[in-house]
Amino acid sequence: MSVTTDAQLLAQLRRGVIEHCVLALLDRGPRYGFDLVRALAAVEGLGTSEGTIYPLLSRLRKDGLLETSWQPSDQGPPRRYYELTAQGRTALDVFHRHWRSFRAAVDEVLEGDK
Amino acid sequence: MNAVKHSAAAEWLARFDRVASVLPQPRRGELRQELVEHLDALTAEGTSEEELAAAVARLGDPADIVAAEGLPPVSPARARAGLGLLLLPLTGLLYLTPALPPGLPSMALIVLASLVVLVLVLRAQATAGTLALGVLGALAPPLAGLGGILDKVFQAGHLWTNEPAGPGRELQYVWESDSWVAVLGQLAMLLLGLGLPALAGLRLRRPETPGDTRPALGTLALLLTPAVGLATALLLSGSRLGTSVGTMLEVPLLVTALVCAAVLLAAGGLLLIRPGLVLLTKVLIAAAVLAAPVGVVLLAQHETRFAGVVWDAGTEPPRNAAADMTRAEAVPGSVLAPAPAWVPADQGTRRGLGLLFVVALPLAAAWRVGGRVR
Repeated sequence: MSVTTDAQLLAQLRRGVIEHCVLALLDRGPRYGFDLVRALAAVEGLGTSEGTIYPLLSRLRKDGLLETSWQPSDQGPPRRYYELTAQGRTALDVFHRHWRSFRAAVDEVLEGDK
Repeated sequence: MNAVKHSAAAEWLARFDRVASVLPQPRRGELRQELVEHLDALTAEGTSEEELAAAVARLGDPADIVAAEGLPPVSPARARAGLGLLLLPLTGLLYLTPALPPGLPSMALIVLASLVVLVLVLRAQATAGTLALGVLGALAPPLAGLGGILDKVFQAGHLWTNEPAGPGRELQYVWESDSWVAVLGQLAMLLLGLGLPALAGLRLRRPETPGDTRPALGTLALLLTPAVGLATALLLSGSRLGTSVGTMLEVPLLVTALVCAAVLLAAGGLLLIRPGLVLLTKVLIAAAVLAAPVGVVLLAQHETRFAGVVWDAGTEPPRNAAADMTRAEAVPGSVLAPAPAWVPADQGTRRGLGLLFVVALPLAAAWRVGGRVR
């Protein structure tokens, strides 16, 4: 059996939730790319590489979970803003529901004997 | 677009542009624009050079970002080139009919098929490593076939020398290509002619993760060294067996061998300047690229073999054949095939060192690079 390193384990965990973290951030309101990436990268423990968020945003947009619009900026050229679509909101609600029960189940297994 | 004025950001973008070439447009341009905006936003924060460099580093490896886009589907052009390469070894059947060597129409068909596949490969979008493999795969069947034919022609020649063994009697020694090199060289040409296009075809039909192509190119050169080295040694050795064709082609073959050595040296250089390799691997790469040409020279030397007893017409056949055979077993130094002064006289030593330099060292270096860099 191969031993999973810390980095591999984190990557595996991250892969399953990162999309929904993006959806959750955008649920609070539209954000432009840089702002969103910074907000996500600032969350300690997620360990996201800032650059890889952009391909993720593209994938979510292609899946119809996000939409983009250009808005003027006071500090330079127009910015591309991302916001949730109705489908994205539904996906986030579904994730919320499953996540709570999943987290509770994992916690119960991990801490059951304590 | 202030970001590109900063060296760290400009360098990062240049790396991104290199690895993103496999992404289809317009997505490539769109992603680049987003990343430039990100870098611009970083710059607008008024951070110092050091802080900007750290922020650029946080963006991650451009190859990871492109990989996160998902592997692009294999384009029709690429699929066509891959299929062409996979079918190309079938032209090898033309070497078998109607006779050996193949006639002009068969040769023309083989070359035409190779050129068509070459054009398909050049039109397929691929990384430099895959493209190089594809080009070699397209050219391999006719070149390997030509090598096989030349070998047949060369080996028809023979060189010999006689050693006096008594009144009216001489022991005859022939100089010929090393028997191991003859077998391994032919096998190498077969492998190159059939295996290389198939390998290239499979590679082209598979989506690939973009990345730094230098390790791929360097590893490819190291992996090809044993087969190319053995084939080259056989042809160089054969060209000096006294046939008129061999004499005519000796210099062109030598020049081709030198070009191959230069390519190998360049490939080794590409690997050595890449960071991330441990010292042992670097030493192994340097040893492999420097020793391989020496190994080819060692393997290209002629083997001296006892061919029998000759006696003058009118004299009696030798009666003490057993004594002659005993004497012949120890090939005297005076009859050995001429070789450069630095080359070991013992055939086994030459063969052993040659195989070490041409086969073992490059494969070991390729294995180390494959294991450490990827």
